[in-house]
Amino acid sequence: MSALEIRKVNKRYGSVHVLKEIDLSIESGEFLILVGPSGCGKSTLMNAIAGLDEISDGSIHIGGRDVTHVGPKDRDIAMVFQSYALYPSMNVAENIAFGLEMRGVDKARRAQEVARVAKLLQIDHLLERKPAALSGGQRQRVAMGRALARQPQIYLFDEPLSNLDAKLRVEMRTEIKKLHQRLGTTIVYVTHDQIEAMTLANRIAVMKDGVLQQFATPQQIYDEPVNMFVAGFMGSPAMNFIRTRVVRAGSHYGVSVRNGAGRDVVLPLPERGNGLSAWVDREVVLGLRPEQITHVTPHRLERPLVTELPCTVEVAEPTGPDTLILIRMNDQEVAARIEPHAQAPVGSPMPLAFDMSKAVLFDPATQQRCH
Amino acid sequence: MSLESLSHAPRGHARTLIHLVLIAWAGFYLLPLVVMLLTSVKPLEEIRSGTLLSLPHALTFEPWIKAWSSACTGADCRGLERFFVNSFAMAIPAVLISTAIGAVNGYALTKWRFKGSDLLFGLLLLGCFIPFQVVLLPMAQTLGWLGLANTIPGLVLVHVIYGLAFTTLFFRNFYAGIPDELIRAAQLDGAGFFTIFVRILLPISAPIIVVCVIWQFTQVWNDFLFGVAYSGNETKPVTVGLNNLVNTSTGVKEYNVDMAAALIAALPTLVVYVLAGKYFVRGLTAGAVKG
Repeated sequence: MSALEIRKVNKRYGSVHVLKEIDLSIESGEFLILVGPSGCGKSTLMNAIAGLDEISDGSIHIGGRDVTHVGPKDRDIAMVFQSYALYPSMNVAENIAFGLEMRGVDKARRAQEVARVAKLLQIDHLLERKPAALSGGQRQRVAMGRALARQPQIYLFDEPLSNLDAKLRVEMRTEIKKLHQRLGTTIVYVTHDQIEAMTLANRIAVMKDGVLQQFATPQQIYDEPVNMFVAGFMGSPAMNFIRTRVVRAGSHYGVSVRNGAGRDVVLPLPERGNGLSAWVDREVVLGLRPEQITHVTPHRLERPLVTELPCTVEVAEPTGPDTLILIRMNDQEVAARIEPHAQAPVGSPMPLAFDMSKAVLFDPATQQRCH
Repeated sequence: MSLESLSHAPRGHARTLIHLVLIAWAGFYLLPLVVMLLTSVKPLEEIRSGTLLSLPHALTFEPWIKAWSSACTGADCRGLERFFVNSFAMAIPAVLISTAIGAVNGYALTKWRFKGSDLLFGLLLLGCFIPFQVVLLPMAQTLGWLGLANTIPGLVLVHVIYGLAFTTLFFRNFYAGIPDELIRAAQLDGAGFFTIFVRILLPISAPIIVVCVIWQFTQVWNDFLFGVAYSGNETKPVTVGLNNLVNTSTGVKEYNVDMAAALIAALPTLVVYVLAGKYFVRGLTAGAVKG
């Protein structure tokens, strides 16, 4: 039985269609991330799950129970808000206990529960403080504590880390992940940060313009994006999109590229059993992630589908662990990720190894994946 | 920040000059009050001799006592006391009720929006601009129907209705600055409409409550038109009582008693401003509550 099931959910505000036929379900203990650019409908979907927004049609089931028309407090969920939404007039302990109090839990049990949650999140020493006297990270913990105290079936996190500074964000990310592993809770988490999505999720739902683009595991989303939007949104630096043509090379297929020096080369395509014959000589968009274009090492060239090509370094952006260089292919800028020591000076030639094993092709007209 | 730490603050002579000008202006504005105070503690003979600004030769509080307890309005010589009591009996419930309803209105209009809530608020706002005179006759009719004509509850009702537009405006603007997520969090925690209001919003509403109470108290206390129109013989508020007392044409014109009576009538609003004035400014400028 699935912990959360969303069936054909639509949401319209007047003539604006913000959720279109959303269909997804997760099992108990899964960590689902709803990701997409702002305005994609992910927060609306979360509010629909919480019951804070009515849906126009479709149904929502939590733990096998149809909760489409059940009020937010009776859905057995808890939510952590972006602004934390701690009650300003109550101290930390009262904030955590409020939900229990509203549900008629007696005082002794409430104190017990507050103590348990405070210990879990290491906020024991803050229980007497008012929210105004807490730092951002502490407020974040209290907000999580408030959700944990109720032990609901599903936890909803609405961009919980976006108000924290970069360093704290990474720390809290790890902590949320640990917490999930330790407690085995079911979590639905909204973010616009694709790194958060990749690091935290069991499954990711990528959304755009109210449409669910792809719903899969992080690795599948990364390696097998269904369209150019998903491919471009997930991954940083973003996937290279190179306009090119499909050619037949003996019994195999490849794409033809022209490097900065004006030389035409055919890069072989992996065999995926979906006959590319219909695409021969037609224009496609080759999707190749920056880390698949690297400096040349002998053992790398031995792998199948790896081709060496002379290129010219146009721009170099060192990030520390590796350096991002921009080269020119088919008159388009292409990013490659290399080890810093291997970089040739800007403006000079540098051979690069193109690993096509994970290359994907998109139909330029529909932007859908075609290989 | 102290004045000295401002690099462009005027120094030396310039500063002295500014202070002198400010003191002169303050004195000018205070002059009527000073004249009233001085007059109210002078015996009548001294006033007749025509020295308005001179200090009293023979200090007396007799006019204050007379104004309070035995000054005559026509043939009725019971002083201002009963009007003063009437004003409190009218102002306190009127202020409390209009503030309470305004708070609930503001809460509902910002946190529980419904179809037409903005229109409703617009109409309420319009209420702020309706001149008293327009409602005078219909309100008299209504109070008659309700059997509240010439009574203090009737006056309370009028002031509550008239004050609602303002109190709702105050609270609406204050609550609009409070994040909706707070309400949603409380909803998920299982709290309902009034629980959220009482437990979450009211405890952080002190600044705007102070603003509302000061505003309403001043309005209700100082009102003359409604008071004179809807009160009966025994239910006149102090503004009307003062007017009648000063305008009474029998006997000698007792300027010292008149001044004392006027000061008594103005005292409560002065006290409210002195005690809570700083909260008034603070409350008006209070933005969203952080945290």
